[in-house]
Amino acid sequence: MALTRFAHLQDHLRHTYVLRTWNPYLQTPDFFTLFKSGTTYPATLELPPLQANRNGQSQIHLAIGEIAEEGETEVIDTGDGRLLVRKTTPDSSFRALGRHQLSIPLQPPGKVGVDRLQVTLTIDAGRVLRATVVDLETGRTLLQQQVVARLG
Amino acid sequence: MSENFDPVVGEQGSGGLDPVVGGLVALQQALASPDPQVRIRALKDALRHGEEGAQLLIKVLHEDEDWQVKFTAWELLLKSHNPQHVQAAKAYQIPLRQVGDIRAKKLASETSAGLT
Repeated sequence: MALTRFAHLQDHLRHTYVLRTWNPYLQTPDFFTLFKSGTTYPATLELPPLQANRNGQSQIHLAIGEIAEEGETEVIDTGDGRLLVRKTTPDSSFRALGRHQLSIPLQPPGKVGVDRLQVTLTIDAGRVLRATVVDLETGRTLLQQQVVARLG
Repeated sequence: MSENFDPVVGEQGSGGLDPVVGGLVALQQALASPDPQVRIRALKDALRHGEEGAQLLIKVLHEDEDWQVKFTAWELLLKSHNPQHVQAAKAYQIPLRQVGDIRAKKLASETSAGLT
């Protein structure tokens, strides 16, 4: 009976998940927010179209990971027995998910400024993140519900 | 400022193999940058986004506070092949840069030249 009282509770993500990108305007690495902490799941997200960052690029890496909210404190082991404490930045706190980043081959190679990949991400009830990737130039589906990682 | 010990991937360009976010979202974010050079780089991609991009240029032309950014938007609209966009640029008072009172300076230099 106690359980039924919570039957309508939805699950929330504990971390913020991002895609590491290249920002051609800032000329720096950047992070595109996919799912913010607190997002309820199951969830689906269709990303804006993705492009190659240079002409002739033959593959795109989709590095998806979690970042700490900016301003949180992190502890760094310097490796020589010292521990440093500092405020996090998105760059410093990025932790990639899974053992390997998703490598998407581009055939023909990509061009700067041309929308190339349509990526849709889903999180199922078991917190499994999956990616579907369509090549906008060839119309081919390159990944279909490929498991990226199980979210923590 | 924290130090960055990340390695740089050779031969892959500065962005490695990471993707660039396309569409208007990335452009609009860049146009909100406080750095005029970032806004100028973004403007140069605006016309790839058709009418929506052109409307962004017109908005920047009227609203941006930086002369160089305004001028870039004005120039891009003038060079576009769409008569309506060209007209939008022409209808806007050309964003001349403030360089002081040139006529007064010229007169002053003539006067001082006449005195010598």
